[in-house]
Amino acid sequence: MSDLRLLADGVGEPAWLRRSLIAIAVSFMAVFLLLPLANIFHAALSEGWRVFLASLHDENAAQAIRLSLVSTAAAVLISGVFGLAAAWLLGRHKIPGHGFWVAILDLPFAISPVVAGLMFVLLFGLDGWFGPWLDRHNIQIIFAKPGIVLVTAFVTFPFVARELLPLVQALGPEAEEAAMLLGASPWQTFWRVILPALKWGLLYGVILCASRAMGEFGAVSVVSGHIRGETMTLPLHIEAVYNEYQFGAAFACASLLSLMALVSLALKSFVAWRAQRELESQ
Amino acid sequence: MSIEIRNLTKRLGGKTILDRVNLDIPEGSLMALLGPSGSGKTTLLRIIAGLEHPDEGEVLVRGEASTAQRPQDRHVGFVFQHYALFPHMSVRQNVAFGLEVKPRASRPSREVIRARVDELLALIQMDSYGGRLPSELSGGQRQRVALARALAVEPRVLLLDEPFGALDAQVRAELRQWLRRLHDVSKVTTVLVTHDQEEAMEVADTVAVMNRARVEQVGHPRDIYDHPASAFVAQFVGQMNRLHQVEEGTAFARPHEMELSLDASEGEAAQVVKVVSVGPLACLRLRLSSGLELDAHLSRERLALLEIKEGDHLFVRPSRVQVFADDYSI
Amino acid sequence: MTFTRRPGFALSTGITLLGTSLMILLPLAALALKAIHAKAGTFGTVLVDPRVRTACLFSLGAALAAALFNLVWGSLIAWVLVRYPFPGRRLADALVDLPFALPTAVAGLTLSALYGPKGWIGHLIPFPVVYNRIGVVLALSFVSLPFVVRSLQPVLEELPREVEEAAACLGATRWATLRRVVLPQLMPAILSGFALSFARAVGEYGSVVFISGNLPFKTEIAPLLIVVKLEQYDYDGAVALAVIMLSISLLVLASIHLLHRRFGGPSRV
Repeated sequence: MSDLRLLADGVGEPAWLRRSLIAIAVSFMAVFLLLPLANIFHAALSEGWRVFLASLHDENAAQAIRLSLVSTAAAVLISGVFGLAAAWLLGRHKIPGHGFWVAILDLPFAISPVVAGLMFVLLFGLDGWFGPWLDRHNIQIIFAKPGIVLVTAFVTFPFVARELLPLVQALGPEAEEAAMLLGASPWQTFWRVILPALKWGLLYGVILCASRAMGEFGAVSVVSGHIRGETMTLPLHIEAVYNEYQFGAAFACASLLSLMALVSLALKSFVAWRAQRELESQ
Repeated sequence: MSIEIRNLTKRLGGKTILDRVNLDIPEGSLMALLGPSGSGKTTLLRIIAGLEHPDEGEVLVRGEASTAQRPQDRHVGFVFQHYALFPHMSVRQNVAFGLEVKPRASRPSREVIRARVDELLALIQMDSYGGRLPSELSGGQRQRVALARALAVEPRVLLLDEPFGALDAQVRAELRQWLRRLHDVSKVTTVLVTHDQEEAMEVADTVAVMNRARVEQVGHPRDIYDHPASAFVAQFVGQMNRLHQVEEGTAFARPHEMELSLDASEGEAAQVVKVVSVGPLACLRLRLSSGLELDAHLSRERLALLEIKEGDHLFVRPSRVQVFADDYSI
Repeated sequence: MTFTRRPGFALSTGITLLGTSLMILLPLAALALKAIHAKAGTFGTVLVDPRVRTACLFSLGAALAAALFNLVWGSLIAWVLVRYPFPGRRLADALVDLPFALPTAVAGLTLSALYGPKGWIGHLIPFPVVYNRIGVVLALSFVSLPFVVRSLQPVLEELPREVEEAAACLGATRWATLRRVVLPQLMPAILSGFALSFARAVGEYGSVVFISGNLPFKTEIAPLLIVVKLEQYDYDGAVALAVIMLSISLLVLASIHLLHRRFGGPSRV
């Protein structure tokens, strides 16, 4: 956020109005955003620390946490590699159908997660395109872990690319050209010129991607099959125990996810702040 | 509308932007506030407009304190460096804005507004551009629209903040002359902020030179050039050779007041380092035996008469020396 | 942008086109082909099914209500965050992203407890929120709140103050300046945030299942109905509904693109 320059009295709003608007906005955010957050931690601990810890040590919960971590890692890796390649290609070159390739990056944001899940069922499910072939070779994707990883990767696919594309465009080709004229190989140029210039944007995109992947619900729910101890991610596990009226356990797991959400928020603010500072020092 | 500025002080974050500034702007005059960036000239202009508030002192408009007035009630026309046109409005809508937002009781009829806008578009020679958006205009055209917009409400004072700063040299020169003619006709009290001494000298009746939050000198452009009040003014307005220390301070001389001769009895020995003779004047760079480098300007006829080339040795003597105390530097 | 082919061009082209094709275009094609090959009349039967119609209309209405709610509050928050200094401004700015960072299931869980009859807020409200349509709108508003704020903020920051000062010097009251000078310049960003908010809300699933109670003809939303149809192995029905949802998403997306093309980024005049 840039520094404020207040308009003079008479040009800007009068002080009483400014103060009222601040009060209204802050109260709204406290009730609408902060209270739900506080409620999670309050409810998680309402049945005591023992229940809290037991809910997280539960075997099914542990499995769900592991699967969430694995699919998040995969999603970040896929989104990251694709994002770097796509941002550099689309930000630097004019390829045939340029507008189409850029516009299509928005699709996973706009598609309902449930529809996303359904699309993968239609591809890899028993009745799907590849279903019979997969069945013959005894490979299961839908209602199994690979499906969960796949749809998680789908919903987070463009996160890094979208973050990097404007940065590559703003960066301009001069630095790369200078590096190449100085005799750097393409790999050296990538590692020593392009990547350092994009590092904060990349990190920001990765945080967004990880935070979304960790919490994805709708798409994963469609392809998971909800098999206890096997194809549950942490958000699915929360729903399952909630439906069994184990509210304490549900909130305990929810508090874990919320904690991660808070960490991601803090990291994001930090990265944005560092990037801003670096920009200003240049 | 005469404006008197009394003991104006403005501080911002521990820095003094204006330090007890006093200035009289006579009715109907065109005054330039000239100074380097950071000298406080823009802040002074914004305080006159009511866009900022002074910490101390006051602004008297025709003898009345205006400090408590809102910008809306001051009837000033303000032209910004980056034009500040309303980007979503056409040229006509921009010019008409000030008339259309008048309270219903004093708002002119639609026909009157239309006629007034036509008249102003003709004045800025943009009759056929009324329907264009600001983004479809060149910089010079945008600035003319900004001026027309400010003039539409018939302001009592016209304030211009580096109005030509973002324009090409040629457009700048044209607009400068146009502004001067406009002022000769309308006689609206006008204050122009600029860091360009040539602009100030060419356009203004009176120039106020500002430096480090203070007004250092106010006067007719020629008086300021001929009789600068301080070392800062001397060096900021026109070129100056810094000669040597004397008891009272430092001695200076203008390049065109350097007399050159081949006769040893006529001054100090110097070598010609460089000769640039483009246009009516020849500019020489001289190096004295002490190592001090000086500039000298002379007519090309005189240069030819003396037969001076680079590397030649000659003698130099200032025809007029001005001495300033060492309080100031650029 | 240059037309010179650089080293690495082939590799990045390969990754980009292959990735996009496999991850985005192939699944889309599967859905499209399935829709084309669906039993004749599937779309007709799905569309006249009153349960589907109710769910679709409710989804649209609730998403619209949520987007409008966000339009008002999001604009206010963006304005206050950009224009007014107050202690904790940076913290408040970070808090805006909470609905994006918080998993939707967690949001649904805590909202249903908070606004439930025994919740901190719910016990103060005389009418039921949870298992009610209002609860669905609430959840949708929560998950899509940041869109309006985040699309408005950069535009508001870029808006040169001089333009407002110019209006004031020309005699415009603050209200006239806001209405005639500031608002028209913010409108594209507000609309874009509104559309994004709507698109997100109309497809939202995770937070709603917790708070809606999933009551057919009452709080059932279209994405939930897709899941129900899938569980009943009614693939054709699910696909038909998905195509409707997808068309809405594409329509919104296209209008946002048009909006950006028409008004572009903030241009300094």
